[in-house]
Amino acid sequence: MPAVSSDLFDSAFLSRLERLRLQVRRVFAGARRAERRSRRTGSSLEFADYRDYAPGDDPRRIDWNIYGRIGRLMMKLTEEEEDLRVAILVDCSASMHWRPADANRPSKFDLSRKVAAALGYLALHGMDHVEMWFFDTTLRGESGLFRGRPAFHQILRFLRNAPDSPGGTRLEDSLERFGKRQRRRGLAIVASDCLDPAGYERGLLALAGRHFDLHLLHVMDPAEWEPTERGDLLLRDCEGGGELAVTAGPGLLRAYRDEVRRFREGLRTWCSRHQAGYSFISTDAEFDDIVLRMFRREGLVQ
Amino acid sequence: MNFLFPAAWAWLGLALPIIALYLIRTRLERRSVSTLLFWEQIRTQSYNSALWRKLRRWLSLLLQLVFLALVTFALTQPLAPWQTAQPTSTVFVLDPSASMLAREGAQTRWERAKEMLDQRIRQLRPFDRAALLVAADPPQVLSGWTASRRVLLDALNRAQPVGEGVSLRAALALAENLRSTQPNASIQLLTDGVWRDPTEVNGKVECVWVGEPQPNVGITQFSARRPFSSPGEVRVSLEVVSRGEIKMEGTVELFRSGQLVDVQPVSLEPGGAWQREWDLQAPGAEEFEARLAGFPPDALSVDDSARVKIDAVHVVRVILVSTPNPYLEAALDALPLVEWVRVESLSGFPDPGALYVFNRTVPPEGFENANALLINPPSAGFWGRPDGAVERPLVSEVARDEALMRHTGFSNVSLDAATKWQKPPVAQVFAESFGDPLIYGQWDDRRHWALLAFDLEGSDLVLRTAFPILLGNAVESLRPSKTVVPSSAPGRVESALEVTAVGDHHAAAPAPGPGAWWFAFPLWWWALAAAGLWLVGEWWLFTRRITE
Repeated sequence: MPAVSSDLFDSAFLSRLERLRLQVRRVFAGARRAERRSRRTGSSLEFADYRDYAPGDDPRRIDWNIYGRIGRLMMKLTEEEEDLRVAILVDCSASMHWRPADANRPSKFDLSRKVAAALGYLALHGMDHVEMWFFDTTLRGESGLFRGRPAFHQILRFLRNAPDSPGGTRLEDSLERFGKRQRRRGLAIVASDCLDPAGYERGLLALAGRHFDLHLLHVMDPAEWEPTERGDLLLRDCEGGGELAVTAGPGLLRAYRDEVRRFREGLRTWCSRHQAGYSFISTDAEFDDIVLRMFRREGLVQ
Repeated sequence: MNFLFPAAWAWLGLALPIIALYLIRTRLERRSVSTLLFWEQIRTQSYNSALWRKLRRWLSLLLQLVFLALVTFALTQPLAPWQTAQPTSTVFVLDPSASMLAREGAQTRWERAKEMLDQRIRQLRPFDRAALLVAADPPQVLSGWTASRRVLLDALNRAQPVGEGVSLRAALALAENLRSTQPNASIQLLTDGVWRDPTEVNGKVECVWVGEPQPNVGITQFSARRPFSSPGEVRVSLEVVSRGEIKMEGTVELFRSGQLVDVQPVSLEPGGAWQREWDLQAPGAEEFEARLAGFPPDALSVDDSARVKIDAVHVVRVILVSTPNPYLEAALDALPLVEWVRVESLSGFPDPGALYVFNRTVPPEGFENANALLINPPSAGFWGRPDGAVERPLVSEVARDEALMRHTGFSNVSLDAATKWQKPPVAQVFAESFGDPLIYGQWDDRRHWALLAFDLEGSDLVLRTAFPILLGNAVESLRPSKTVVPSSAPGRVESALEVTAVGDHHAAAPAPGPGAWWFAFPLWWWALAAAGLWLVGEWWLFTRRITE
């Protein structure tokens, strides 16, 4: 599986990745000490608040300067830096494996795995907990929790061993099942083409409604929004197997492009309305541009 | 309908492989897509219905078959009924007179006539023949009989108006000769009907009329001449005529070598004329120009000005070969612009511009072609030989129309004696005494010599006015310039733009062939053009996926 081979992440690329870190819009409670702000006050140097002294408090945290000025014992509270739970869910449905026969660019699935690997590395580097999932009509594979950079090879191994029985896409079942299994909230990154015949709203809402910090990586192939085939065609859906005969003329193709554009705009609007991040990834885009520029521009990394 | 190449219908057999190819192409091309979601959303588009796909396929096949049918039809070279009709032959004659330069709107009549003729030539069918003449004098044959429209159009492009020197009679006679060489031939004259002599156009000519009557003021006559009595002067004559329905007022300006010398106000009633003469001292060469100014704009501009050039006066040299003779010397002294000298004998070569007067002497060797007036020569020569004497000579006949004898009065001249001469055959008798020549010779454009068969001293001719007039005629005929120099004004008829009333003036002759321009093209050409357009349309539908 060369698409997620560690050869692609050369040392220069990794060193550039190490200058980045995942960014979340919300503050979550962590399990272990790490490098990320949490809701708890703790032992870091970052000032959080003051409160009155109560018996049993650690006298080392009394602010004697305040006592000298106002004569009251005040406890100086600092933020507790904890880890973040980062879940990366990669759509492995048949549509993600589809690509035009004459195209030499990666499939949506291959590109999604590479992006997932890069984001996983970022999380590991930030001492966050990382877990990865595959899904199509349901959850297909779970990587388990990883922490620390040495676990990167385990992530790569998991991504390389993706399930090879692609089926359709059912976002609602898959993401709701994932949401229910998570006891801790955190950052949820979903890489999918969102081509669910039942619609994407309920599936994404299963995460956003459970207070995950959702970020959608919407992956599409250029041939999907700009088809070039013309004439009388018998189109076959690679997921459902359904067929549709069309006469692809300029008018019809124009209507098709408008339809795809409306679909993308709808996704973007939905994410914005539900305070979820949205990144549109084209399979003909440069991988470095996606990770180092697009994600930074759209607030996924900083 | 006839076909020149009916075997080409076999090309219709190509319809079979075309139909076969369309039957093969009925299978849809299968394509795998990531989803049908978007296609399902737009499946209501009209082209997606199965009925349309079937119709579209049959429409496409029909377009191809019609294209094949059109091309095959063109290859058979069909002939329409009107194309198999009798071929025609037409002699087109263009009237190039000055009145054809009258402007009517944006075009002159000449341009309009050429445009009409261009249209008629383009309407000729491939087997029609035509010839093209311009009624100049002599007539110009721009194209003989030809069926090539390109040749005729090239010839038409070369046609130029000539203004003066128009001869409809000669052109129509030549056209009649051309017409007689072809069966079913006709003559068409493109003219504005402004003819000096309407009898030049006979009934066999179909007239294609150009132009409408127009108001015009123009110079119809402008000339300059040196009076005989005063060669150092120039008499300039001008005539202006008006044709219109209102009174015209303006001025006439006379220029002499570019300098304005006179301005005369002119007021012309409709159809009226204005004439004027100027006497001007002008011994040298001069150019006179008359211009009309201040008149309302009119149709014909070429007659709004006229120019005339007159040469300087020419001094004629006279060599009198004679003993002293007071009569001759006095007469030569009295002649204006004459430089004379008297000699006793001659030698050398003659001066071709001089007049030699041999009084009782004979021209020496080499003077056979000199301008000579021999007065009773003593011996024979190229002028004849003496044959006794004329008995009781009396001037009985005078050829007054001859230039030498003009205005001379010999009726009461008495002659004491005269020599009877046997004149050479080429000589002409100018005056005779009952059959015996008294004055004869050859005085025309080729040679100038004359012989007087009597002595001046033996008659009273020297006392009569006829004698200096005779000498004056001899001298004047040697002057190189004409006495009257006319300008190139178009003329009274042309300037008046008077249309000769012949038949129905505005009933233009029909064009040869069926009449419409598209009939000029063969049917196969139209079929091929339709096939080309059909192909373009089919391609247009194909590129928009309306057909396949």
